[in-house]
Amino acid sequence: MLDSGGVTALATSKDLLTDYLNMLKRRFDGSILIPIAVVTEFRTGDPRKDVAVDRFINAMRRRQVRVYVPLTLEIAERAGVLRTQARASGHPDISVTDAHIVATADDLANHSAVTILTGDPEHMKVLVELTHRTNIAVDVPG
Amino acid sequence: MGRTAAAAVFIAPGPPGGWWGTHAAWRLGRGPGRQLVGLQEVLWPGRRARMWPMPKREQLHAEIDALSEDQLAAARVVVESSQNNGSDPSANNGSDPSAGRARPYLGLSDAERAAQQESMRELEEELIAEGATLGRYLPELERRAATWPE
Repeated sequence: MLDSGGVTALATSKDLLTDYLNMLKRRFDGSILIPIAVVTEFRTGDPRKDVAVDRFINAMRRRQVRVYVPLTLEIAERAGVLRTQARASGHPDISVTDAHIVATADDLANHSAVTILTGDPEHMKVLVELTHRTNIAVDVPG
Repeated sequence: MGRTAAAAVFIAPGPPGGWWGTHAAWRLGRGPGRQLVGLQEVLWPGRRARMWPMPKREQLHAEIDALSEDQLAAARVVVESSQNNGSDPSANNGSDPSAGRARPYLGLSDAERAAQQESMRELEEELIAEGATLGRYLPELERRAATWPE
């Protein structure tokens, strides 16, 4: 699962993306997913900035396969609980989007392991710890 | 004359009992300002005010045998919910209104996942054809991916 930092890092570095695709192909039987809330962070409307991201995402969406995970009421409520708990534990600057991402991972983790590739691992780790999930990992993209 | 009046104002004492007593007496029903004692002090003179009645020892212990099945079930839900601590969205202390309902899996189905993996293979080949270098980040990625849950 990618946040905006993960999307941007993979979309703008062909070498990094190539190695990720190669490694995922050999080691994992998984998929690349992007929580819908992340779109707000990486979509700029500037074609010079969006073109690389669009190419990456459109490649993932070939064969009519969706890459975005929808934001449901349950996930939004879970994100609110996680964000409130994080703020109460001394992390007042946890963003709504970060909480949405981890709440989405929390939902998916009911069925499979999830790794979040993020440019902000510290905040993600705080939120993931609050889920008490052992099958959610946080990593940086590059 | 004027100078004498000014001095008198300066040295004038505060309310009976001093300034300190007024606020504390108003808050607690105690203190030297007797004209400001609260209802607590009037009803139970000398009794220490407290915020809520403390339960008696016997009220803290419930006889399990005396509880009905419904009470036991309710107590079990409360205990499990507190132990769960919100880690499961389906039992997070009422914050999830859909608790107990089956929710759809938001990830990809097996067929969708296979189709996306095929797209990823195509994209990798395209990137290599465009001149991307394979292997520059691979050792570091392999090392970190070894810690990812499966």
